[in-house]
Amino acid sequence: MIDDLNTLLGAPLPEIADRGFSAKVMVRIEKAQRRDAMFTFGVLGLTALAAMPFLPIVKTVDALVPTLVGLALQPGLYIAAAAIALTLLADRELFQN
Amino acid sequence: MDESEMLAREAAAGSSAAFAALVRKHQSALRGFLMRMTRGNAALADDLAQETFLEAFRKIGQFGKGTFFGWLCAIGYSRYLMEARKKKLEPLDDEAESGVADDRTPAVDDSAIARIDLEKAMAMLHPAQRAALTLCFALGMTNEEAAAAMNVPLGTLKSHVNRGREKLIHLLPSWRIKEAT
Repeated sequence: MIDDLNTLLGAPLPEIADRGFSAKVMVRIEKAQRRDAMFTFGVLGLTALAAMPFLPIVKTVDALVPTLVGLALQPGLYIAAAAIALTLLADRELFQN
Repeated sequence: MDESEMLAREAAAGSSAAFAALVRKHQSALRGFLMRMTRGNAALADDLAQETFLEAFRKIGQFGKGTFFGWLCAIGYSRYLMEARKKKLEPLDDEAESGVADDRTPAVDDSAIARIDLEKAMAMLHPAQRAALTLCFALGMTNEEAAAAMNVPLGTLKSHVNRGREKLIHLLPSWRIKEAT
């Protein structure tokens, strides 16, 4: 009797066909991930909005504008940008050949 | 490290494809385990299995030692206990066991019917005994793995196994005797 019981208990559980179960789980996971991401962005957005009145935005923009204008007038910046673009183009050509 | 543990590491690193492979690999065994825990309620077992996989995905970074399936069973068993408490599916206190015998149980030596007998007898056991016997026998876990999955000390697990087996020995022949007379 005990041997029979061990055999009976040791029989593997019947195989259950997937029938879309795994796909359903993954859809729920993707939905949960989207919800979590939206929640995170929502909290960040609200925090940023709430912080706006306390941030020195006008002063920061006033300080940044002359710096950006100064940078835009530097010829070195354009030379560097052109060098990067040429390097990328050459790299792509080499890769294709 | 076996395939599941490697997939779990990949999933923890952000691979949804790896987690999908884990779901496909373990869905049958987990649903089977939960089906037995819910005494054949397939819809509830599937709901619990889905919740188990969702929780596993959220906590995949916490998966450490042991087997992935053992870890999954631990989540599934704790989900089952929460559900059983919430919906009062069956008594969970230590002494309570549902001792209502089912008179319709057939008594034939055929293996398929023996399985039905076993499922009905299993349904009469305390949930902890049912879980311990399923994890240790049908799912082939070691006592240590089963104890970890049920979050109980090793001695308690062994006690659940022994008491569950004793009750099954008492239940299974009693059906046959009843039918024979």
